Amino acid sequence: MIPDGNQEFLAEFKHESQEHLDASEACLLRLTNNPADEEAVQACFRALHTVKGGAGFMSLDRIQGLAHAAEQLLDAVRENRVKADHAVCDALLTAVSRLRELTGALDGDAAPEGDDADLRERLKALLTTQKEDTDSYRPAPAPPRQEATARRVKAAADTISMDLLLGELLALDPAENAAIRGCLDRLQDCSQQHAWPRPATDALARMQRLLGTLADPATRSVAHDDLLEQSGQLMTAVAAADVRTTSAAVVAADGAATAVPDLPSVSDFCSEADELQAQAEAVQLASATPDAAQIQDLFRSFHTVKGMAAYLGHPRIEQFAHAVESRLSPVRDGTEAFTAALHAQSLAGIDGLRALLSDLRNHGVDRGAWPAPAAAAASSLGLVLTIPQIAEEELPPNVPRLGDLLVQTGKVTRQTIEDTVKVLKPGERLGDKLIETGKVPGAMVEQAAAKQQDLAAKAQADGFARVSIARLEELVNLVGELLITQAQVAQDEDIVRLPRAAAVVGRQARVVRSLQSLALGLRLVPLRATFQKMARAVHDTARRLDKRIDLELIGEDVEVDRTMVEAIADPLLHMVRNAADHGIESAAIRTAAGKPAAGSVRLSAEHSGDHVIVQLRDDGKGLDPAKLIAKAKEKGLIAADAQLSPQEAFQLIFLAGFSTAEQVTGISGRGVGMDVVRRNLERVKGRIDIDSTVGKGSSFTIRLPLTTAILDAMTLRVGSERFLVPITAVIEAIRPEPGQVQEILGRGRVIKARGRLVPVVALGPLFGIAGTDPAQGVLLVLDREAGPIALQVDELLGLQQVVVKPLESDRPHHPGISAAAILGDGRVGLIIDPKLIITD
Amino acid sequence: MNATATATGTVVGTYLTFQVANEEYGVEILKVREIIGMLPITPVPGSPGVMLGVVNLRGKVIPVISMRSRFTLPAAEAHPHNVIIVVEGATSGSPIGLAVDCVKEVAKFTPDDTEPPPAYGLDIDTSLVAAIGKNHDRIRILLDLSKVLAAI
Repeated sequence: MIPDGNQEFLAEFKHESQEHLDASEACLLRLTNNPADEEAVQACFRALHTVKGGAGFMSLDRIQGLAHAAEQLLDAVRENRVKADHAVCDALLTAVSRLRELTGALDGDAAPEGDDADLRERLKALLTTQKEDTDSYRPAPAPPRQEATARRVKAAADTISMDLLLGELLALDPAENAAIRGCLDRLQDCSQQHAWPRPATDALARMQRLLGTLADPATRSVAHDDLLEQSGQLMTAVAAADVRTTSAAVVAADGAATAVPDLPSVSDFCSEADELQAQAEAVQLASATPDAAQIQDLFRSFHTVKGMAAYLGHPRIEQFAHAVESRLSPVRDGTEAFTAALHAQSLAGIDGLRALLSDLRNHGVDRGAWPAPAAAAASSLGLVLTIPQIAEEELPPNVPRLGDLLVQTGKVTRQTIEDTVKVLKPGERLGDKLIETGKVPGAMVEQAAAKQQDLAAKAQADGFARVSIARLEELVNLVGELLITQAQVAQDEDIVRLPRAAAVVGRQARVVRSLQSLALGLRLVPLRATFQKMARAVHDTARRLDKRIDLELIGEDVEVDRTMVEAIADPLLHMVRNAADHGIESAAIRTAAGKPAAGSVRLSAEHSGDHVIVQLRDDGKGLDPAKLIAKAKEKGLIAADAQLSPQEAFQLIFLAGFSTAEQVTGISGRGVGMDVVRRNLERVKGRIDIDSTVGKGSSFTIRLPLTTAILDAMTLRVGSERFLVPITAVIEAIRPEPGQVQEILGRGRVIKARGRLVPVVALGPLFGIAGTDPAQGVLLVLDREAGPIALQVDELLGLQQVVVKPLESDRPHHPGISAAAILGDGRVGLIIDPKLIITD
Repeated sequence: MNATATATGTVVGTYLTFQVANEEYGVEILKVREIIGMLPITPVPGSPGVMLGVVNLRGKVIPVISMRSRFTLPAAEAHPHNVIIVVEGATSGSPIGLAVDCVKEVAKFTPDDTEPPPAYGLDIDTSLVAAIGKNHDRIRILLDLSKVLAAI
């Protein structure tokens, strides 16, 4: 299947393809809702094209074939030959699903049966059946191509300006407050201008807040460290917002014929570069002996073209402009006179660059050939025409060598590569030698080199390393241990007394804390992928039930703990299906009720303090409390004479075995859903609330802690044991006067606090810990939904932030213990869940 | 090298042996993750008596079982040789610590070296025993770890 069986390369392709397929699925769903969404068509086309190219490169014929068929259909949609109706979108979605199965099966899982001929036929058939009515279909002419260009330019502008500004910022002395402020202000302008994503603006806001502490010499070095850290985050955030300008050149095994990505961006670049060249020419022609300023202008025009070419991924133009620029640089520096020969050379340089630009404009892509004027100018400039290649020693790990990539195409034998490597002289590159000796066509080397550059760029710059969760957890654990041992060092009086030790230990503490917040941040992932799954579920459900549903997704960028994402994915899926199935009525019923025929489902996420609110809202028929109560009574889930408020009635749907669907559909309505939903959410300390109005719709609000990993806790002592209580639950601590705690018949011991009788529970006896003194001790009053409770403990030891660990034990234990944490001395402390302390 | 039960109920494989009270016992080496010195143990309220509590194993909180109490033997004074053998849990695969008096050696057993557990005459519950090892002139009780970890 793969010529050289390079598993790493295959894995890379698999991951990459899965991402592209996710993207194309999202685009197709957008297209389903808005058949005129040209941008979605473009993006989907590009994504599938990339998958096809990669598959071709890897000789994965089945994937390539199917991707090609899908791409053909999309191409027809793109050119308005075919209308993006439901049949088309459905077929494409099916193709994407199949492609996902096929790529998923690459590492050994069983691939789906068959050869996809049916699917390919279906896609092909759609290509022709619609031809008759194409005239009636003309989507509103949107300017998506300009938008794509604008985005590309914005992305480049973002990275350029941010890089420059951050570079400047980091070079500044921490004491130069005014200069730092100026720099931050310009970053602020930049962020507004280009609408930077939220994490970036957040980092910027934090940087601005540091200005005050920077002004104070006492806190300056700490603040400066923080500033540097935040600038790192800013850079990551902007880079993460998909600013992959350098990988813009689509790598396709089948070459330039189909790879015409973003023509406008090419032409934009060309016209801009042309303009610069015209300026340069004007300078040249104005005088045979230009002055310093004119030389400077000339130099700059080449320099700018070089920079733009580098950002847009035109290596040949970049290389050429660089050669001219370096030829001119001694003149600019005044070390060399502007001779007639140099005059001629730079004019030739302008001509050569023009030829390269027009070649690019005509073909849309860098063709891998040097036009004659460029070749002539290049030789006069002493530029050796080479294909940019990465030296082996500079190759990032996991990026295959050029020779390996060529062998993988199956068109070059390993023997050829090895023979050529043998005759390589120092400084010579394999790719050039292969072309020079005529063993491999230039275009093929070019493609392999581009692929390699793309892989290397990914591996280095915006590379996301895929790390197993187990290793991530291990890292978090070890950082926690580091924090503890560091604290032990810091608290060791003998060590701290040593000269210079205090300063080093202080600095170390800062580094360890940054490391901790970084490690914990690694656990956060955006909700985007989860939401995307919901979009697919709504689409499928709506299609199956023949309903029209518009889904709105808000806040996909909100980040939550990885474990949280996993915990809510299934409940959310269930709820979304419920909304589409039971919530939204059929179009006929909706129209009769005076509602728009298409139902609306809104899934949103937002931060609220240290919580995330995920809300699912539909404008369907709503929950009818009376119906719910009747159903519950009929099923014997509540007493026949029970009186329930509407809120209580809504809660009934969380009971096991409760289902309101009049008909059991294939999708939901078997009554095994909402109880599992609630249980899953409770497991991650989440809460779900329902609000609903009959005929108007329902909303389900899920409240989740941002992370299950960190807890602000009060440490308390009972006998010789220590326990932790979440600080959010603590109302107050009371040292009771004699007689303040009273025994009430039938209700146990109580204390009057803030006008209420609060039950008192002594933790010593409850947990079976000896050595506690009931006469002494402190009462810690805790808030609970079921009313406050006072825990009697021996001593409060103070506040501390702890990393919550699951009790990795399937053994039974007291229900009031919810989890564990590592305390400052390395011992385990147990975390008490107040709501599970039983008072009777 | 996996331990396999033969027709006669004897076992073959490599075992880590350890001492509890007066007897030497063995657990399959493949199930052992590591051996650590005794750590401060935090008792967990409401847990079964055999469970000593939980310890911090490099940032992970794992339960520790007292083998003395698992074999319903009396507790003993702490000794510097006391160790925790960390093994893979029976069901979840998450680690569990076994507190033992001390570790002895890693020993191989062939079918000829072992015989099925006797019905009588052992200090401990026979159902926990996979076989009796009798090579090197010593009697060693080879444990069925899944049974040792189950039902406590």
